[in-house]
Amino acid sequence: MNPSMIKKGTLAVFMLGIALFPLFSTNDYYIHMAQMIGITVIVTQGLNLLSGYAGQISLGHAGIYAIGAYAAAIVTTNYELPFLAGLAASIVCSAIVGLLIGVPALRVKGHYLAMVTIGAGIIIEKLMHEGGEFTGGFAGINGVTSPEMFGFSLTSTGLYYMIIISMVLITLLLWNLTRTRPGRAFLALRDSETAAEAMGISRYRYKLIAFVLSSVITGIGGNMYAHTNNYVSPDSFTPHVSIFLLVMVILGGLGTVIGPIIGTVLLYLLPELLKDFDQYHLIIYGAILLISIIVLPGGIASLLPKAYRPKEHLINEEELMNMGLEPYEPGLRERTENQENVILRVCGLTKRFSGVVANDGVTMSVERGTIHALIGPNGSGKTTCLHSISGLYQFDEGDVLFEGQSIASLKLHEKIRSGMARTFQHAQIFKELTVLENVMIGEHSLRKTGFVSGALLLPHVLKEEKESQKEALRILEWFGMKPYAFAKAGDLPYGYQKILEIVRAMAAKPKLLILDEPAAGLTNTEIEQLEEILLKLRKAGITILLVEHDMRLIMKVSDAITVLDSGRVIAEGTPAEIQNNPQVIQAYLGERKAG
Amino acid sequence: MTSSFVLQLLFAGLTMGSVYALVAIAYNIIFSTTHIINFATGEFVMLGALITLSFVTGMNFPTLIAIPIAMILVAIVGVIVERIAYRPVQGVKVAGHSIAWIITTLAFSIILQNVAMLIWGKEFLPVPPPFGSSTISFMGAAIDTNQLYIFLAALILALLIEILLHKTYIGMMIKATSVNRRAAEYMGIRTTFVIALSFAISGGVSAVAGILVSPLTFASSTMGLLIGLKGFAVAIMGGLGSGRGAILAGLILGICEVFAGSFISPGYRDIVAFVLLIAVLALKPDGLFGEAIQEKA
Amino acid sequence: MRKKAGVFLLSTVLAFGTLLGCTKTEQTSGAPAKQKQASGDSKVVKVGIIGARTGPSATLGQYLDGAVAVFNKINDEGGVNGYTFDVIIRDDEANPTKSKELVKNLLYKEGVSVIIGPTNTSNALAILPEVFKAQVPLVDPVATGTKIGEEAEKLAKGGKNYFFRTTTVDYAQADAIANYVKKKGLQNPIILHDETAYGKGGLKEIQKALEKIGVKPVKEVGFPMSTSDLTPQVMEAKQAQADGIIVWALGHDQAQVAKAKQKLGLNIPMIGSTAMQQTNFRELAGAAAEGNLSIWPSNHVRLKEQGERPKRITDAYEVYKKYFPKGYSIDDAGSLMFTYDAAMIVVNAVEKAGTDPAAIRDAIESIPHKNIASKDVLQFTPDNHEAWEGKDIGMVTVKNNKVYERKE
Repeated sequence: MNPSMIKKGTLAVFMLGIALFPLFSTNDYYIHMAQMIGITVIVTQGLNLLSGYAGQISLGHAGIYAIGAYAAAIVTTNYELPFLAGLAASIVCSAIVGLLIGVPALRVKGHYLAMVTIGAGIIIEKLMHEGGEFTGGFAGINGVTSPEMFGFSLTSTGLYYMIIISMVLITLLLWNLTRTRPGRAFLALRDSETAAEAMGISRYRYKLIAFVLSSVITGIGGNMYAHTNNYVSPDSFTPHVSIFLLVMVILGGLGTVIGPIIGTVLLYLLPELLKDFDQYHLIIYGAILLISIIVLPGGIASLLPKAYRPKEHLINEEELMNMGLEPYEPGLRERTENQENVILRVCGLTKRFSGVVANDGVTMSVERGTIHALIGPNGSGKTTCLHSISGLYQFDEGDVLFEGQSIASLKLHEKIRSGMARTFQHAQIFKELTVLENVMIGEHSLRKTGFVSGALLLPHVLKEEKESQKEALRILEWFGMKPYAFAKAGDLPYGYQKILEIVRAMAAKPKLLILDEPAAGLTNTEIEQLEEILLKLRKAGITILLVEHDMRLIMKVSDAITVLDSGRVIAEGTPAEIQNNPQVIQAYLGERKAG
Repeated sequence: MTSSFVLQLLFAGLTMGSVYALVAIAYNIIFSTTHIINFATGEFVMLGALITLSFVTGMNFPTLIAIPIAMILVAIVGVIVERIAYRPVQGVKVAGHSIAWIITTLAFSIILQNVAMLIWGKEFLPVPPPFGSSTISFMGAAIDTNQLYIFLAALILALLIEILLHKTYIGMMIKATSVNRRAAEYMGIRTTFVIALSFAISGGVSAVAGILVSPLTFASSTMGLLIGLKGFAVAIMGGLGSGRGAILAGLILGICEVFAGSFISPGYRDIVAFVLLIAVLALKPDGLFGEAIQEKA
Repeated sequence: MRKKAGVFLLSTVLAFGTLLGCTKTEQTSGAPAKQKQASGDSKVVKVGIIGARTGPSATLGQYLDGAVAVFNKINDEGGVNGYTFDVIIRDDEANPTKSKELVKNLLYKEGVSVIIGPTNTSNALAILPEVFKAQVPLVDPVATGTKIGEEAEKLAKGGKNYFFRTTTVDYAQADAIANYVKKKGLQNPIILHDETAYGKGGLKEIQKALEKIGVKPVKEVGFPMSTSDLTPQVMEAKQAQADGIIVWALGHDQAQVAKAKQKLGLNIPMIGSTAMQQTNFRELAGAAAEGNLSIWPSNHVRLKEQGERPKRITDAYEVYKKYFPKGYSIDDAGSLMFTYDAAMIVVNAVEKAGTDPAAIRDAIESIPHKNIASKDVLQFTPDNHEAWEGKDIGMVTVKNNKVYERKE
C-alpha cells in the first residue's frame, strides 16, 4: 500500500467518522466535546496561519477569540438580531481588531512582537471585563441561544454539523492557500525574508493580510463558541487560554495543515485522562508537554514521514519530469520601447552609517546589454552600493535612475517590477523548499493568484500553477540544473546554491541582473561554469551588474568596470584600462611599492 | 488631590517599579546569553518569596540568612530549568523559528506553580516585611519605611548586576557568549557553563524580587503570573538586554500604574503595563535603549 | 534514535495515563472506588463536586473539602438509609468554558444525581442552564453572586428551581451591612471594593442596599485584587471625610485596608464583607485588625464573649477535622460550614428520596434541615432557595485576634 492510498484511506475513515459521530453517540457530553474540539480547531487553524505560516508567534489569540464570541453574544442576545448578523459582526470585528494589532505588531520583531500580542490579548480581556452593560462586564453575557436561521433554531446535532462542516471547509481553504502562490510567498518570507522581498514579496503586506485573515478565522470560531456555550465571560479568554491555543498548535505541528487538528484533539483528550487527579492534574499535564516538545520539537505531525502528510504543494513530480518542454529563451519581461542606452544610472550616491561614509558621491552608468563590474578592495563600499541601488538600504544623497526613471523611492520588494533582480553575497536561497519551488518564487512578481483565488483553488489558479512549474523547470534545464529540481535547496552544494540564486532571479524576467559576488565560495570548475552562464545571458540581451573579487573572471567577462575605494569611484573603463591603472593598483596593494 | 497624596502615590509607584525592574533584569540576563524569554521567571519570583517565608516564619531563621538561602535554592532551580527546558531544544527550528523553548519554559511554569500549590497551599500568605516596618512622615505623606527599604534594596541589586555585567570577568564572558557564542567558544569560554550561570543569576535576582514584593502583595503559588508578565513587558520596553532600560522602564511603569489606578480607574490598572508597552514600541520599536540594528545582508 | 526513544516514552506515558485515568480511585481520604454505572437502581448516589481546585481561586475551592468530609463520614458509617455516596471532584480552574465541559461530564458521562459547587459566579452562570436542562439539583456553597439566584429564577420560569445556595448571598450581606449603617446613623460611608467579579458584584449590592435606607455613599473606590498597599485608597476616605468604610474584597486585601486605616490614624468604623473572616485578615493586619467589624450569620462559628460555640458547629468541625487533619482551624472554618451544610442537605434529601435527581431536588426544598452546622433549621421554600437573608445576619468583630459575635 503506497503512502498516497494510506493517506486517502485515513482521510476517508476520518471524514466518515466525524460525519457519523452523532449517530453513535447521543450523549450530550461527548457531543459537546466534539463541538468544542471542532471550534477549537477552527481557532487554532487561524493561529497556525499567523504563527506557523506567517511566522508571527501570537500569545494573545484568546483576545481575537473573545472578539468573535462577544460580537456574536452582543448582536444576537443584546440586540436580538439573527445568527447571520452575529456572524457578520464577528467577522468584521475580528478583522478590524486583527488590523489594529497587526499594524503596530509588524513594526517590531521577535520577542517584541510576542509581547505586543500578549498585551493585546490582555487589553481585550480587560475591555470586556470593564464593558459595563454592553459586554455584561465581569458577569459576561448569558442566554446566548443556539443559532437561529430561517425561523428555527439548530439542535445540538445541527450545531455539531455546522461546526464540523465549517472546520473542514476552513482547513481545506487553508490547505489550498498554502499550496499556491500566496502560501509559497509565506514560506519564502519564513525562510529568508530579504530574498523574498527581493523577489517582490512585500513582507508587510503579506504579514498584515495574515493577521487579518487569521483573526477572521479565529473570530468565526469565537462566534460558534458563543452559540455552543450559550455564555461568554472574560474569564474564558485569559492569557492561559492564549497559551493553551499556542501549545495546541505547536504540539500538533506548527506550520502544517493537520497540526492544529492533531494538537487540538490531543490536548482535549489529555485532560480527560487527567481529570481524576484533582490537584495533580496540571503537574502531570506540564510534564507531558515538556517531554513531548523535547522529544518532538516539530510537534506530533513531524512523526509522520513526509510522504504520509498532506502534500504541501501542487507539484506532481513524475508528470513534470516526463513532460516535454520547449527550450527556454532567457527573455525579457516585456518589449522595451524605451531603448535608452544607459539602463542604470547612479548619480552621486552617498550612504552613511552613523559616522562612516560607506558610499561617497558614487556615479556610475551601466549600458544596456553589457556586463558591468563593480570592484574594489574590501570595505570599499561595493555591496553597500548594490544594497542602495536595490533598495535594501535607504541612501542619504543622490539618485538612482532605471531606464531614465528614478527608482530611489521604491522599496526593496517594488524594485523587481521595474525590471531588475538581484542575488546576494551569501546565498539567500529558500533552504527548506525544493529547487523548483525556489525558482517558482522567482516568478512571484509575474503571477497573479491572490488569497481568495488561491484558497478556492479555482481552475485558472491550477492552470497558472502548472504553467509556473513548467516554466521553472525550463529555466532549470537551460541552466543545467533540471536533475536537481526536486532536491531540497539547502542540500545543494554551495556552488549550486549560488547558481540557483541566479536562476531564481532570471525567473522574474529581469532586464537588469544584479549579482553580488556570484563567484564567492565557488570552485574553479564552478567559476568556469559561471563564466559561461554570464556570457550566455549577455548574448540573450540581459544586462548584468556584478560585484566581484575574482579578477580573472572580471577581466574575462566585463565590458566595463567601475572601481571603488573607500566609498569613492577612483576609476572607470574597460578591463584593459583598469588593469593598468596605477591608482587601482595602489588601492589594492596599498601604499607599498608593488613587487 | 493634595501634594501629600501625590507623594504617597509616587513612593508606592517607585517601590513597585523597582521590583518590576529587578524582574526585567532577570529576563535580560537569560535573554542575553540565550536569546530566549524564560517564561518561568515569574515562578522564580514566587519561589523566592515562598521559600524565604518558610525559612523565616516556619523555621525561625533570621531574615538576613533566609534571603541568601532562598537565592541559592532558586538559582539551583534556574540551573535545572536550563538543563531541562533550554539545553535539549536550543537552536531547534520549527517552521523557521526556534520556538520549542516557549513550550518548555511555559510547561515548567505550570509545573512549578502547581508544585508550589501542593507545598505551600492555596492561600494568600502574609509575609513579614524583611527590614521591619514603621511609618515616617515626609512632606505630609505617610511613608512606610518598608517601601523605602524595598526600593533601595532593589535599586542596589540592580546596580550590582550592572556592575557584574559590565565590569567583571564573568560579565565579559556573558557578553561574549551573547554577542557571538561560537567565537566565544573559540576564545576558550565555556559557553555552556556561562549559560547555566546566567540562569542561576536570573534565579537569584528573581528570588530577591519575590522577597521584596511579597510583603506588599502577599505570597501565593499564583503570584508569579502577573508579575512575570509585567516584568517581561518592562524588559521589552527598556530594550531587551539593557540594564539601564530595565530600571528606567520599570520605574516609569510603577509610577504610571499607580497614578492610572488612582486617577483613571483601578479596574484598568493591570493593563497600564501593556498600553504603555505598545505606546513605547510604537515610538521606539526596539525599546527605550534597545539598539536598532541595521543588518548588513 | 532520539525520536524513537521519545515516541516510546510518550506512548508509555499516555498509555499509563489512560490506564490510570480509567482505574484511579478518588483522591479523597478513604472514599470508595469509583463505579462506572449510572445511578439507576443501585444504592450508590453519585455526587459531583465542581469548583476551582487550582489557580488563583483555589483558596475558595479548598472549602469544598468540607462537603467531601461529610460524604466520607456518611460512607464510613455505612451510608444513610442504605445509600452510599460516590463523590466525583472536578477542577474547573475558574474557567467558565471548562465549567461547562465538566458539568456536562458530570451530568452525562458520570450520571450524577446532584452537584455541589461552583466557587465563582461566572462559572455558576455557565453551569446553570445545564443543570436545569438535565433537571439535576445544584447546591452552591461558595459563590455569592446575586445574579446566580436571579438567573436561576428566570430558568425556573415559575416551575421547579434547581438551584440552591447555602452560603450568604451578596444582597443579604449588603442588607446586613446597611442595617448596621442605619443603626449607627452613619451618613457618609465610603465603599472600597476589589475589581473582581466578587468586589464589583458586592459594590452593586451595597449601593442598592444603602439606597433602600436612604444613605448615599460619599465615594466608591475600586482597586485590583491583591494590590500592594491600599494607603492611597484609604487616604481617599480621609479626604472625603467619610464616617465609615465599607469594604468588599477578599481577606488579604481587607487587611491592607485595615493597616492603612491604622497608619493614617483614621478612627472610623470599618465594616467588611464576610471575607473578613478569612484567616489572612487577622494574620496580615496584625494589630490593625482589632475592632473592625464584619457580618456573619448569627450564632455561627464566632465566639461569644460569654458562652460556648454552638454544638452543631463544633460537631461539624470534628467531622471535617477527621478527614482533613491538616486543614483549617475552627476559627477559620466559617466558610467551610456552608459546604458542610450543602453536603448535609444532600444527605438528608437522599435519605428521603433516593437517587432520583428530581426527587432529591424536591426533598432539598421541602425538608426542614435540622442537622446542619450553621443554623438550627434550614428551610427552603419554593420561592426562596437562599439560606440566608439580611435579617439572619448579625455583626461580628475582631478582638484579641479572634472573631467574636457582637451584640448591638
